[in-house]
Amino acid sequence: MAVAIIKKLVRLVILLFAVSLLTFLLVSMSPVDPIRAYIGTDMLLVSPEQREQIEAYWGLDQPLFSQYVQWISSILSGDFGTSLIHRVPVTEVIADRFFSSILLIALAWLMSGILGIVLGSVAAMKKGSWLDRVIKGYCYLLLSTPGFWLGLLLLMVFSVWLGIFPTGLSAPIGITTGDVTLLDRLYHAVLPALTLSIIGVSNVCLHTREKLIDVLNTPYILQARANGYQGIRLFRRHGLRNMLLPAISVHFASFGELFGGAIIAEQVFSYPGLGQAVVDAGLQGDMPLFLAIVLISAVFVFVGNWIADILYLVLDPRLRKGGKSS
Amino acid sequence: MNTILTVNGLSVFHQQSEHYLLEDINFSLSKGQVLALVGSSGSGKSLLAQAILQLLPENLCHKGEVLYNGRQVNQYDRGNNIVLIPQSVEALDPLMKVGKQIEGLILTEDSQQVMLDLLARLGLEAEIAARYPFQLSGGQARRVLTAIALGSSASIVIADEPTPGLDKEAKNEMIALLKEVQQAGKAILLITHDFDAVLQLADRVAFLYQGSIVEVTDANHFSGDGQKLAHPFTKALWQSLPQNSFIK
Amino acid sequence: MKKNMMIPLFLFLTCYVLSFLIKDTISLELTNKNQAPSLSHLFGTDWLGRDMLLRTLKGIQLSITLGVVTALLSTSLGLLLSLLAIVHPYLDRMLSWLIDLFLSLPHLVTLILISFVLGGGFKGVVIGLMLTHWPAITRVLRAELLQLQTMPYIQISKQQGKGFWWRARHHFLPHLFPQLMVGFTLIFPHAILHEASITFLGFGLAAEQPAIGIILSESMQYLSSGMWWLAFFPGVTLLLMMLLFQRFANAFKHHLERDRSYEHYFNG
Repeated sequence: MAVAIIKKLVRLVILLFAVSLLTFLLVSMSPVDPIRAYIGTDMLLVSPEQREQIEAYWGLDQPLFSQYVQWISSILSGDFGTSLIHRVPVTEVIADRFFSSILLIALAWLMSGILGIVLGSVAAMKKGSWLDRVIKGYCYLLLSTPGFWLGLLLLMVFSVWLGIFPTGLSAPIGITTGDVTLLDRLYHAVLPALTLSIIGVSNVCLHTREKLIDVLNTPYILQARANGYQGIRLFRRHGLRNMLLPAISVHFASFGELFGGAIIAEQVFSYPGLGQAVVDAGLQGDMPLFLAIVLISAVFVFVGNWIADILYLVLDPRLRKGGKSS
Repeated sequence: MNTILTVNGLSVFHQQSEHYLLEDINFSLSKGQVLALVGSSGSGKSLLAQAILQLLPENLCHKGEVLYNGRQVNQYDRGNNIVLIPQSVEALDPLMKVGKQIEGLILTEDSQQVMLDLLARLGLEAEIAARYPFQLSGGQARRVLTAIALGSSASIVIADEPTPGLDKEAKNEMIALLKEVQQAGKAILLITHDFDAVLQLADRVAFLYQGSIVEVTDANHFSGDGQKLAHPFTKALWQSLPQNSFIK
Repeated sequence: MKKNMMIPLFLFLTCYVLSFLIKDTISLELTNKNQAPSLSHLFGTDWLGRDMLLRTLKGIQLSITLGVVTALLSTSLGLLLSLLAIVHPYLDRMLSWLIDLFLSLPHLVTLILISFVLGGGFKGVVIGLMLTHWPAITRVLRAELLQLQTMPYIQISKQQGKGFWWRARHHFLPHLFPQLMVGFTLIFPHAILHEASITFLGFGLAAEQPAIGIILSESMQYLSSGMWWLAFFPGVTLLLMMLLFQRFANAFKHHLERDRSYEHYFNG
């Protein structure tokens, strides 16, 4: 088992390097001029000689590949460079936003996971009933809903009309970072997290439903029914056990979608997380920050997929004890 | 004879097309008796088991009555009064330890002890209880499946194809296990197309042909060239067996 | 069954065709600006007095065009790559790896990345969407083809000396056709929603284009002044169109599957 886990890990690390190389090359090919992005409107005041000096200083005059090697090795030593728009080290820009985003994503992941698995189970156990149709309809409705529009609606209803939740930011204005309590942060994360989880429910719910229906059609469920188990007892004894692992695994594998959703939710609610940072960096040509967040998102997806894979290895007795006997 | 299971005019049909899969099935089963239900595959044997247990697939309906001790069978009879011996290890939950699955059918307080006794009685070591189904050998799995029937308090056991594709040795073992069930005082409805098993176990034999029972007869009527058998299908079936050298 | 499929498709296409009747430039009526929905302006008007119903329909039209182009390109790319995968196991390994590579970034991040590199606009969005949507369908097609390749009749063709393209045309394509259609119907709405998102974020279509994403991102500035109709109706319209299409797609998939299940039935 340990070998399998490490094998997967190595494969994913190689993939991560490929992503970093590809991203770096793509970004270098872009029409965005990093020097112009850095200097901004004072560009007219910069003479060609000065420009060359800056290029040499940043190593932009060297071949692409050696630029990449330099970049990746400094990243491996923990140096992500300096953000062009914020004028501080990228790690500093990311540090605080990382926490905000993780809070948002974790909240949404938990809410949508629990709700999705519960709804999916109910739908599967009552397959064909009006309850199943309502739940399925809700999921399909959400699959067709643009996430940012849902965010706008929630913003209109809860912040503008009812005034229950703040219209933006991850903490109250006018308070220094030291004074922000976890409660403040949670309060500001509620609406974006709600948007994310409402959208995220449909995926895990439909998967749970499908998986549980598969389980309910197996011979061991027929046997369990013949043995007198039914309804909630049947679900608790056999259904849950066999459906939970695939459902949770799928939910872990959806980290990528969650990250994408977070970008949108953060933009709608002006919540200062990684998503908002990557949008700003992209729009204003802040390459070091942009590259750093792209890499973080890749690591994020990677962790989700890795957990989804090893969950089976660790929890499913057939794989855990595989080869030992049989 | 005290009859414990009566099937009266049972029919199973498709909800929409009203196509009949089983038509007007009648038979009864007494305490300690083995009734074999024989038919080729596709004749609706397994469906009959599901109909008796009231576990038909969604799109199928039934009419007629199934009586347990003179009253309509209901969902509480499943597992308590009527139990199913499944065909294969597939019928065990792959993610649940074997011991726990057997215990689930034992209603007394000391279910764990009863379970361990059962395993011992069937010649299985106690550590089998802590295994998952995929860790069982074929023989162990068959014993565990039988333990489920023995462990339950049910007086009727439905064995649905207990000997599919087994080699001779495994088959004999399964037949011995079923005898064990019978000696425990339970009535067995043996659903099969395996004539060997029928001849070794059954008291009476019912023949299912194209969804209907064409003949119910004593097991000892299967002798000679089958002159005691009434229906041409049954006769032909008996005569076609290899040991009867395909009597013309 | 046919009815379940055709009615949503018909409604969907009608809306699309009707939107072409609208003039490309929507007249500005500054005297009528910021009007709440009324009988003369069902969806209200914006700060320049433009009718929001017309703007919305124009936006939907653009979305659908873009969705069709993208879905066609993604399915074609998927088909091409999956065919390449069965030419040689080495190519297949490369393809699997490439799929993993593209799936290792969140869709939206890839989209932002591509738009960043290509500078956005219609071309940037289409290429970005194509590059994010091909892996899913390629995976399905590849698995199907690998299985198909072991079929006896394909082997016989091969032994008879039929070339790769002959087999592709006579065996693979007819077999894959339903998958391609289903893939198309799955990618199409997905691409539209992604396009709207990326445009909303500012990476997609240019601000002067009548896209739903643009309309909605503009509306954000007016939300706090209570002009809810600017955001509400365009979103609802997009949602309804997506639902219509999804109804069609579900019925269509069901239809194909039903046919296939009969195939299995007759083959024993």
